[in-house]
Amino acid sequence: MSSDVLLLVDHRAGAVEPTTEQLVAQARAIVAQAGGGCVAALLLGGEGDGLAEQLAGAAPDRILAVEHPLLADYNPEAWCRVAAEAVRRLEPALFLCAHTFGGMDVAPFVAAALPAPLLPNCLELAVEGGVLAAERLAHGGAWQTRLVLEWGGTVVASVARRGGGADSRGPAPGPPAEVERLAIDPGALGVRSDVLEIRRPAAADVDIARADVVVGVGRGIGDASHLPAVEALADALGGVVACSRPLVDLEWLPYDRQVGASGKAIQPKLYVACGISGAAQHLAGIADAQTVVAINRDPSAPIFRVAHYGVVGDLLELLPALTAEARRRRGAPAG
Amino acid sequence: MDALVCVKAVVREPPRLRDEGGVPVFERARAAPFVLNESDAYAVDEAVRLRKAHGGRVTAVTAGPLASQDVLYAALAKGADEALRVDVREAEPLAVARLLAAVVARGRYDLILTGVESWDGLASAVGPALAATLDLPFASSVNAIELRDGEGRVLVTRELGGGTFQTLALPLPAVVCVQSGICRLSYPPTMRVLQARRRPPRSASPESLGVEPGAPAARLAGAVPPRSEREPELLEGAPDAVARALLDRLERVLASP
Repeated sequence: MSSDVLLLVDHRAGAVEPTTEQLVAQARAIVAQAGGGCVAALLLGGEGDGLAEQLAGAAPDRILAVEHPLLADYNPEAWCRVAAEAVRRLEPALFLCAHTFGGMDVAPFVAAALPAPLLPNCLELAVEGGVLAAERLAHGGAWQTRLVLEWGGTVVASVARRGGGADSRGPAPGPPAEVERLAIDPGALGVRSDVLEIRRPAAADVDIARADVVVGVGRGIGDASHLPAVEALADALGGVVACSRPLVDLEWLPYDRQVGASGKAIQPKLYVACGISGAAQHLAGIADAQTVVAINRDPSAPIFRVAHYGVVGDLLELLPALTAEARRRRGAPAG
Repeated sequence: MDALVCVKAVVREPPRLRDEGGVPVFERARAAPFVLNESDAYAVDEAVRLRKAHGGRVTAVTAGPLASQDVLYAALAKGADEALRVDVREAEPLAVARLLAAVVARGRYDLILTGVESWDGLASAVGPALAATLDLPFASSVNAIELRDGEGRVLVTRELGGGTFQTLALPLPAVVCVQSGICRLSYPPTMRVLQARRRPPRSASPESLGVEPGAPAARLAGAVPPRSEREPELLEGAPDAVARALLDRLERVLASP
């Protein structure tokens, strides 16, 4: 059997996501461990949207494209059906997706449609003597498990987003791969879902993904009435306020302030996590933060596993103290 | 509108790792209760909300051992009309999807709801796999559902991350995986939970559903506590002293361009 890897190019709003480069690096590692094979990128999109050129840096061996109006906007069912058809035809040893919004739809759908074994939301995949091994988090992040399966036919896997994608790239790329068209007609696959609308955050809104300093707040803040203290610290540090999932569910802060797998991935110079325990889904969003400060009452909170500086204590006492000290240093009046 | 809500029983207390003749096995902490997985709890409440507006019945189903039945009582207390348990031990997401697909095929449902992710498995796989198995349209990470039963379709708004949303129209029947936060969670009074416990759920075996359980494709080879990426420098003392110490250390970070 070949050890060819087919990976799904992750893109949104006309831009290839950094996770794609991570997928290529993961695919290269697998192919090398398996003793050779081809790394092909499956590119689903509208006609002439210029995505293939953006793949030059990631440097897959082949770019296989299906371009169709049905694929221009992300239509989950269309993507799933086309991906399943491509995997059926190409029979790769591994079909690899990023565990982001698209890949979370496509990987399990394709696995069930084929059917093929599924290794979902993996941290790392490796080949060892005909066995495919996956490291993944389970039980709310309390355990990192190792799953193995006999690698006999196509396997589907999704890989969690992680930081530092560009560093893990392999040898310098050769000339960019030619784009090959896959003769799959999405219109003939019985897609029944319609995309009615896509709503993007307004340009004027605060973009936590671009901020140098982000102060994140979680359920540990206790009550919405304490949020101004977090705003004050963010302001004193010249940063913006972000949050973990529970605060969005409670409607204390809007969706575009959420950091994590189901929110935004941020890359600030400084991230201050206030009352955030550090669920796997949140940590996925701060992998690229350069310096992490964790303030939490619970010393065993997973957030301390990724923090450079930790403070175990009462947020409501620490926030005003930190704000006053930050203001003092910036020469602004304390208070 | 008849809805099937697929729910998972999870144990919030991490399991212990046991060695069974060289084979690692997870063992549920003794007396740790099964609870309704969070996004599945939202799915039940959302189904009950839709039923109140559109009529019909809400059936809750779980695939798990007898002890996991507690989450079906929780679903009944939330307002589900009936409950079914498929009797299996822990199963892979794709195997669960096959079992649930057999349950769907034996009933008549307009909407099949489930949560987007389980707290313990973190795979987000059952919903899309169920849709693929049944060849139905689906949407995941959904945080608004508008049922247009007159038109035979449902409009759903789903997250695409970072504050981007997408509205999809799906013909019924459809599979919809809901995000936490889609509605307000209900917390039924104890009395209602006790009443629910007098209504034992139906149960079905994989064989009675015509599903071969089959061996799992992947096996557990080991587990470790997630490794720490860093050993943080812990700052201790009075809040003012901690603030000074921390900002001393952050000076360079904050000053760099």
